[in-house]
Amino acid sequence: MFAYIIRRILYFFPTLLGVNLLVFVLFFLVNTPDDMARQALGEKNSQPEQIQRWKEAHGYQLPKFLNTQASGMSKFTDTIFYQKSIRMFWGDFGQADMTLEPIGPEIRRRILPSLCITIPIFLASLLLNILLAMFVAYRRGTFLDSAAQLCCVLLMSVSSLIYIIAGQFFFAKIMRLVPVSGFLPGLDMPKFLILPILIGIVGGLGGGVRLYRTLFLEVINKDFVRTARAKGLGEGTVLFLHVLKNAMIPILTNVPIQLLMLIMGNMLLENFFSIPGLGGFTIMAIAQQDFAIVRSMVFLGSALYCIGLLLTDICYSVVDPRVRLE
Amino acid sequence: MSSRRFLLCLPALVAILVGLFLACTTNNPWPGKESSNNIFFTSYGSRIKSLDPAVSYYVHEGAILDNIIEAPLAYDYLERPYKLIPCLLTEIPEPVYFDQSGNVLPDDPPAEQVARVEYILHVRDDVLYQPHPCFARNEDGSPAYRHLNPKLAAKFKRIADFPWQGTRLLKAEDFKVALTRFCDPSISAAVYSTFKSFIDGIDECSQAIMEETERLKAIHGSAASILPDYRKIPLKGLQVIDDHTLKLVLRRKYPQATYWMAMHFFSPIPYETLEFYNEPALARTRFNLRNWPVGTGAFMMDTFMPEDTIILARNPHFHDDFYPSGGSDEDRRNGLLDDAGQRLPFLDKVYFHFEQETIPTWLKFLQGYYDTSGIPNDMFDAAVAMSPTGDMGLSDEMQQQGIYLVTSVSSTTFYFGFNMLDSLVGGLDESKKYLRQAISIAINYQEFIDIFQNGRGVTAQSIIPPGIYGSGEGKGRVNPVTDEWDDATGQPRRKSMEEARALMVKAGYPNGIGKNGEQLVLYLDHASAGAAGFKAQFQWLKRIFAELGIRLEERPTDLNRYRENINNGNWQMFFNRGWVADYPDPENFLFLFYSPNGVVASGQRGSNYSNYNSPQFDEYFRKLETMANGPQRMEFIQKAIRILQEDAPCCWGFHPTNYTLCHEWLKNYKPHNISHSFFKYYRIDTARRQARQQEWNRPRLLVAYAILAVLAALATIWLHKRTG
Repeated sequence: MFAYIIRRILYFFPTLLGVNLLVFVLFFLVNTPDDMARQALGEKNSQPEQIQRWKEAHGYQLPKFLNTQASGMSKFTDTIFYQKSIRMFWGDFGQADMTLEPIGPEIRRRILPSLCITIPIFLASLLLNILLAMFVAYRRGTFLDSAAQLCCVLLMSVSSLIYIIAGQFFFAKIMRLVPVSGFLPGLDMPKFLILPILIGIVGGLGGGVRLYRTLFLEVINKDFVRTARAKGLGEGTVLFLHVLKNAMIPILTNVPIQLLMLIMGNMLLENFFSIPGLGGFTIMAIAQQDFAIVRSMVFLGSALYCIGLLLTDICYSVVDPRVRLE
Repeated sequence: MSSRRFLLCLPALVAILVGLFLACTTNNPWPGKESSNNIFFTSYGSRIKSLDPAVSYYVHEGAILDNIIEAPLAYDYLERPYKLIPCLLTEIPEPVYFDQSGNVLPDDPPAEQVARVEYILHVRDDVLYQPHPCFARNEDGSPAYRHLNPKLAAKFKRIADFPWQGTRLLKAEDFKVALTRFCDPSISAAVYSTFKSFIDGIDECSQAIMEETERLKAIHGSAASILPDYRKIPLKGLQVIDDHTLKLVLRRKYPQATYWMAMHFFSPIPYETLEFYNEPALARTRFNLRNWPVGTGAFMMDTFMPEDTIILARNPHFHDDFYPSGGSDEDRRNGLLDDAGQRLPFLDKVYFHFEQETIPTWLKFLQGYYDTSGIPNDMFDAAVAMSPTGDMGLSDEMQQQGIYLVTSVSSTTFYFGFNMLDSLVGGLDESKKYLRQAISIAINYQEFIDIFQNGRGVTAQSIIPPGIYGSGEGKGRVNPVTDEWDDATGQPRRKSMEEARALMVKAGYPNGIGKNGEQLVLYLDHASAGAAGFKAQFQWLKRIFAELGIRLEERPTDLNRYRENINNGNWQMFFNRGWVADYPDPENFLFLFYSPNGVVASGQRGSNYSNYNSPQFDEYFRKLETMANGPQRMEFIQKAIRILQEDAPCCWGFHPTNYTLCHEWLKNYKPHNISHSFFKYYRIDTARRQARQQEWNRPRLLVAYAILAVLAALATIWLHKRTG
């Protein structure tokens, strides 16, 4: 297993290099350094000499992949790809193109606010979805099951934006219980987080319950469940001990990836609730063509995804003894 | 307690906990008791790129930066038309003109005789900088912060966290440092090309800085933080005469230079600030000139977290500055002169909160947590109501809240442009002119304003917006090609479609059919495919063109390609391109049609996007560009405008009207479309605000408790049944 983990870690590097290369090529297919300079300088200041100055000041005057003017290793190192993308492998995310702010500290600053909403949403959703799905699966085929499914479809049909706007209007404006938006650290934090968390949970409830219901129904008709009932076990024990445990394999194996991806934040909720997290950071970078931030966030996301996949494989072997990592 | 009893009590326990939480919380988004303090609360929705005075060029950045730093000149807050007043100078400098031989030319000589212009700037001797660690000194006079410990520096979150602070008097040298630094290529200064065009020696200075940087790199290594000594690098265009006197030297006659002196590009920068921020220990922190500008303004940066909040605090060293007393009668009636002669500023702090979405901002304004607000399009009907006489006013709900509305026509023009290099719509021959005139009549911008702008705008009769010298008043501003004066309404009225169709016949396209018997097809180039509302706007345009018999097609592309196409002249027509005034002078608008500024002709160095080229217009522009305001300049402006109206390189669109809602507790609010240095004039009635906030935001706890009780009871009953 140890050798397997080492091998998988070594796979990370070509994978991340490939992702980096892809992002680089895609970005520069639609944006030239001149476009980035124009975006940064504003249209009124985009004279050719100012564009050239901007590119020189930001290191975009170099060739993209191969510097034929240079000699030796500089042919590869004196290029935009090396200077901007390869450096991320040793943790150097560089500076934002538009603000020149170091990206590493900015990511560290924004992780906590993002996690403050994504972790509670994830955990509460997981718990609630499982409980409700199990209840609905238990009542399968009844009026309650049909009504629950209808509710789930209705919940899924409503746009997240509606939940957000209606939530802000009802809880903040009409009921005056929590602030409309904002974020403060310390003891003030819960009052800003409770509404986005609630909306995040409700917004994901429809899809979540339907998914887990399906997973539980697959297990609930298995022979070992019938055997458990035949042995005279109570319905609670059957559901929570036998059905849940066996249905949890596909659920739990996804948890590591989902948990790591929580770091990337929730773009919509962060935007509407003015939470200074990584989701809003990424959206803003895309809108402003800030390649430095876009590539950093993609790199971070893909690195987390690779780690998540590895943890998933490990989880498989832990929760399902039939799986062996070789 | 048995597990069943615990289960039955659980809903009640959860309800009590939630109830307790709700009892302890409010919907107030501001920390502690800040909303009861003397603070102005506002929001911004775009990312702050830079607050470096040499770089910053955006309006939302100006609203922060221009309240921290000051420029040599400023605008009077109340006077209209806009009037310059001294700020960091003792007086408005007067130009002295020299000919090729170095002889002084009298009065206002023609531009072609002028070889050099000099302005003597007298700097005030009573202006102190804000408290800042860059000014802190040890007993021996050396800077207190040198070779900072990076771990210590990383602990500081605000400039005020540095234990030693200092200040010093403003010196003439600080202006020289700022302008020399402006020439540094590594800064990527905004408007560099503009400054280069009139200030002497900008390029030479830039070259000298590059050489000095290379020399320093050779000594210290390229990895080291390099800071050229801007004090010692010569700049012909700005010379320090003594501690309080400067000489600004221009290469040509350029009266608009005084307007530039009212912008932050001319603001002083103390060299100590640059040395402080150049400390290697601060390289990985947020402490730099982009985030923490240092100035002499009424406020100073207190907190800089641009992803969330930016706070300005009152500058304790702010020099003597008093509320103006020269406003109009209308200002007096509106209470804008109640504080005349009072010492500024009135506020202790200004809070800027980052809000990317308009609806949360609007809701917070209604709750009284923001002091002013614009009106989001979606909320327009809730905020503004039409009276039976057709006048726009506040809705009853707004009036009951004590909100008042302030409107102002912005110094911005949006227009529909034709590419004058295009073979179908461009060129100055008569048929093309008639075609553009016909389209200009057909595009009824009043209709556009009514449908898409909620009536917020004024139709443009020329490129110059109202309030700018030369824009004309009443009948005098009517574009005779597209409009006629309506005595009944006292407003211009668009000519009829019949007249537009008649022009189409003259253009050789009767009913839109060309000589070859085919329907005329025109293309609208844009990058707005995903923009909200554009589809409807395009359909509106399509219908209008169809009324002339023209088939309008769109050529959508992404923003980058669109810009590229504009730069290469590879487009036919664009829609609603805007130009915002940098300064209140007609030259800042008319130069958009001066042929040497043609985007294609100048190799993308100019702003004449239409690539309009009229020798007659150029001649008038050259004359009026360098002339002082007066009857003769007005005559040339009117002639230049008349040529533009006749040639119709654009369909003059509209000037947007800004609608700002203010709460009753905000005093002295008067919109200024050019200057951003306005917070020092605002006054807040904090007691009134606090009372209203409490009244409007008392939590509806009883309703919440009732809902919780019902939910808890239902859950308990269900559990009781299940476990019974």
